[in-house]
Amino acid sequence: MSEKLSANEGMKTGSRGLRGTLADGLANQITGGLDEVEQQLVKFHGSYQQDDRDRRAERERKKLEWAYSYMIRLRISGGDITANQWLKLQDSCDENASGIIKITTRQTIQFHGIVKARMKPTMKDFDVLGLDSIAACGDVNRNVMCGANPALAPYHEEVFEFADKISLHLLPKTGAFREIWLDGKKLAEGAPAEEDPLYQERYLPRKFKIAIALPPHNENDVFANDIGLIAIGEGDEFLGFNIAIGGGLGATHGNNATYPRRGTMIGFIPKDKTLDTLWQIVAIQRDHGNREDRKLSRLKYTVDRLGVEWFKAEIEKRCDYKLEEAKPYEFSYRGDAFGWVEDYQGKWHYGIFVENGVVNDVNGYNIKSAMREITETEKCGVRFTGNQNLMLSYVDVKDKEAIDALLLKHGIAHDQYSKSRKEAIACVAMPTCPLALAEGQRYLPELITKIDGLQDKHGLKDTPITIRMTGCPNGCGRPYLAEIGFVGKAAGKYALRLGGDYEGERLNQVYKEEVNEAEILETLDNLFAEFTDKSNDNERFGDYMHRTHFKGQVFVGADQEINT
Amino acid sequence: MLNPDQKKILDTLLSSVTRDQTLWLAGYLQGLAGGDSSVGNAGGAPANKPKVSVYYATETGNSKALSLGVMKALKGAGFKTKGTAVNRLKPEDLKKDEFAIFLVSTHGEGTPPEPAEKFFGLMEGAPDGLLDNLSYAALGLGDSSYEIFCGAIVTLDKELSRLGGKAFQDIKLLDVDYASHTAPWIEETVGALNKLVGDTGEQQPSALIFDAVPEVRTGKGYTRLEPIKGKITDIVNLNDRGSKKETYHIEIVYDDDVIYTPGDAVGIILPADVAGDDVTPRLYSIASSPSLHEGEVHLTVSLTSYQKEDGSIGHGLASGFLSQIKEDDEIEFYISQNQLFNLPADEQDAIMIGPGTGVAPFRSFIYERSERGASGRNWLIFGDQHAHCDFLYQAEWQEHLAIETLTRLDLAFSRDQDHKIYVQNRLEENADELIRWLDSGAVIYVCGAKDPMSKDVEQTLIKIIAEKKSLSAGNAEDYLADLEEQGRYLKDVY
Repeated sequence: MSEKLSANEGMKTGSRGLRGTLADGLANQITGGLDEVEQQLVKFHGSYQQDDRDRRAERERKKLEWAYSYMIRLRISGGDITANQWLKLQDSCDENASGIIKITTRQTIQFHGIVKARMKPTMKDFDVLGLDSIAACGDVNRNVMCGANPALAPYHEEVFEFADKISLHLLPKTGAFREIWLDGKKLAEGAPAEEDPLYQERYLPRKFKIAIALPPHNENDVFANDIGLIAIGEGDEFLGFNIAIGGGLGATHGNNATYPRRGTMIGFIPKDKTLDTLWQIVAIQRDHGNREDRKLSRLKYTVDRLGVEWFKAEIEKRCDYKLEEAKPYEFSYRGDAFGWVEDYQGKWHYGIFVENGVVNDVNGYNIKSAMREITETEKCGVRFTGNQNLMLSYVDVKDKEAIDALLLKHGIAHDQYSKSRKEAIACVAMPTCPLALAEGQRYLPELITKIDGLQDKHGLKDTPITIRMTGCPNGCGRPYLAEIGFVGKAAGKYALRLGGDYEGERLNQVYKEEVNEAEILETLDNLFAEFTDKSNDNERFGDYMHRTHFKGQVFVGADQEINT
Repeated sequence: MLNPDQKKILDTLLSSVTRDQTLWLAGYLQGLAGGDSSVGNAGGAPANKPKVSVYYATETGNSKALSLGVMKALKGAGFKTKGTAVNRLKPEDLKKDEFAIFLVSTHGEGTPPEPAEKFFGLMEGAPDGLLDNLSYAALGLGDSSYEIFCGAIVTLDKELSRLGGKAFQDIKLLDVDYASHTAPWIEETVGALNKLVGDTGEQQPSALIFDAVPEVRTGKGYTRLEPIKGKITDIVNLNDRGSKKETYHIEIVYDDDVIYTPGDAVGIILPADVAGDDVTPRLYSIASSPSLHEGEVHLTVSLTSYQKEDGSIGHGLASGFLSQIKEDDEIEFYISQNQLFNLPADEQDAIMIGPGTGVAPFRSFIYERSERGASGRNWLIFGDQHAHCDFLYQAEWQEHLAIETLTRLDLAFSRDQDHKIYVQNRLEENADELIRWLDSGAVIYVCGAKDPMSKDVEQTLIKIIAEKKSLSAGNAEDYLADLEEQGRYLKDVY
């Protein structure tokens, strides 16, 4: 740790509790943008500065600066909100943003295209609804995910509540959020920022993600998180969590020191020790994470650098108790249940397929209009899934018919979509994401139409294949845990990754370094033919590729076998 | 007459003085030489001729320039004379005059120049018989392409006669080619006055009448009667998605040797198939710098829209035409000079208030001052509806700020928050700074909509001056009027 700290470190410690000059930057009307430091700080408040990259030339022609706008991501633990909250959020999105709510891969929603002047009004709308966006981005614990599938056992409700408890327990203690966005009381000039025992003045070296899975479902890809929690129960009783640490998918093209990593199971923690244990793990990362190179600062690199055993021992030392052996569990499915599903207590839940999480009215499949009318009835709750889909939750059996009628009215039915399409994920990418190297959600739908054609051709129509695409190697769309993963490298070019499993337990790996659409389709055409011909009974496409082409091994990064 | 040393001293002095100082020196030297301290009595004319007051109402300076020529001729003929803008005049002030000459421009559809509006209002309310002793002559400058030609002077003439004034010669109305008709009129008027005072001598007005008139350029390229041709090289709508407006930045190149100065406007001659019978020229403030954008004029044209009876949207004739113009199209135009709205001295600070297309001349000012390396500071106050889509020339202002050719930029985007914010609100917020700039000699410029913008801005300026200088409202108004008289409060409003 003798090297120079990365530039972001000084921005954090110098920010007086995430304040910096953000208030001034927001008030400055000369530019729709923020300065470099403010751009980093605003992330901790749940927002990214973006610009419409498609429109740069046009804006320059108009003698205007680039079309800067902001994305705001909400903090919604477990992805659960009320019908009324949805309705008001949609109103706010229509008024202040692009009008199209995006459901993210982390069970929350974000608004895009908010210009500077509309930022505070948007935040105020959230506040009125009891919602906020603090820590939805930035080097802190992000939105806490929790299995979205309808409760199958009574203890599931208790686990859902845990997501919120964890989020609050790990929330930054600063009053900056209320001060900057909600006209809260200002910290006196020269006064120190609020004490924060967890984040102190330096926050974390990098983002931090926690997800909870409720077996047998793993739609949140728990092993892709810094901390993955697998809820363990016995009969109707909730016991605690199996805990996996050091998962994370981001990597950098051409940098072999970076790699996607599947979380390592380190044991079981009883529920009453969970909050403290998580707090201590975050604190260990705070103290030992790499603060010099942001590309190597996620928990996964800390774990690999110091060793899993060291890490376990450090947790036990700080918590003053021994981790128990991980308990048995089984995952069988990562998709969402579409249509009606009944839970253990006789309530009904309706899963709606939302392609890439984009809530809009498209080609007669009018989710936006349907959601408006359905939530107006207040006969359901609303839940977001890690697959970017929607669920109308906790519906009484007597109200099903009314909801069905509204779904029908707006063309919401699921048989027109292929199985693969309904399980696919793409990130936002172009035109607003500053990191994007290639298209994401704007392009995947049409590529899937072509892949659907190939599946039909080879008789694979009824075999769902997980297909995921991201515009850059950061991995928001979790492409490393797909049977077919596309990672953007340049306009129209992707790394093609194959061999991941359907359930999300195993990472895929590079099959072709850089391919365009024609090459993608040709490759898949050949592989589907081979798979139909040579696969074992009931063998999945990803498993077949893993067994044959990759000889049963997973190599990513510099000669590092990660298949733990 | 001077020895070389004396000549050197004089040259050194003259090279360092401003134009105003030169004028003052001329008067001072005349006084030292034993000349009468009241002007007049030159050229051996009879010494006992009465005073003839010359009143002018002007928006772009043409009437004021003309008043100098009239005064010179009067002096040459032996009359005492004084020139005054009518702006701050009250009808009672005219009671002391036996003889007066009124020179009045008309703007748009028969309305008086903006600074003279108050005087016109007071005249309407003055009692009959107030000016029983007055003999006057009236000259109007106007544009016959408007439906009401020279409406302002016609109105004033009626009021003067209602108040008891007697015209000693017929009212004269001159069109845009006025420059070639003024000398005979001055000659005729001075002759009529001579007759009235019983001077039958051969005294003639000076042949050099227009020497004193500052650079009124005439001829090809300077009136609608003799336009020049240019070619469109660029047109772009400056407003972006989400805007309720369309504002076109248009660049025209031309070959003719026609010059303009920042503050001048361009008159657009509409093609016959567009204009029909309507030959009224449309004036747009020039947005380019003659030094930086040599051989080009840039315009900032707001597309005006209105709802037709059938509910459809119609557009203004000229702005509609200009919004549809294409690159390489030819266009006919002329330079419409504005002597009263021009650059400050290089070392002087400028406060420029220009919301909407009112910002156009300030783009010209700031580029020109940048080219000149002017040391004075530039403070721009701009406003429109939304920052993200209505911020005219945003990228250019950012660049000016970065290289410090723009010192300060304050913005008022009226619809970016629940309550409306306008340029005058920004003035109020920055009242202390405004006063500091004023006290160090800054010139205030206002360009854009006359109503309500320029009126609200003026009220705000008066309020700020009253508050910060502890003056009554009336005295603050005088303070601002003094600035206006000194050429430190200039308006180009429409």
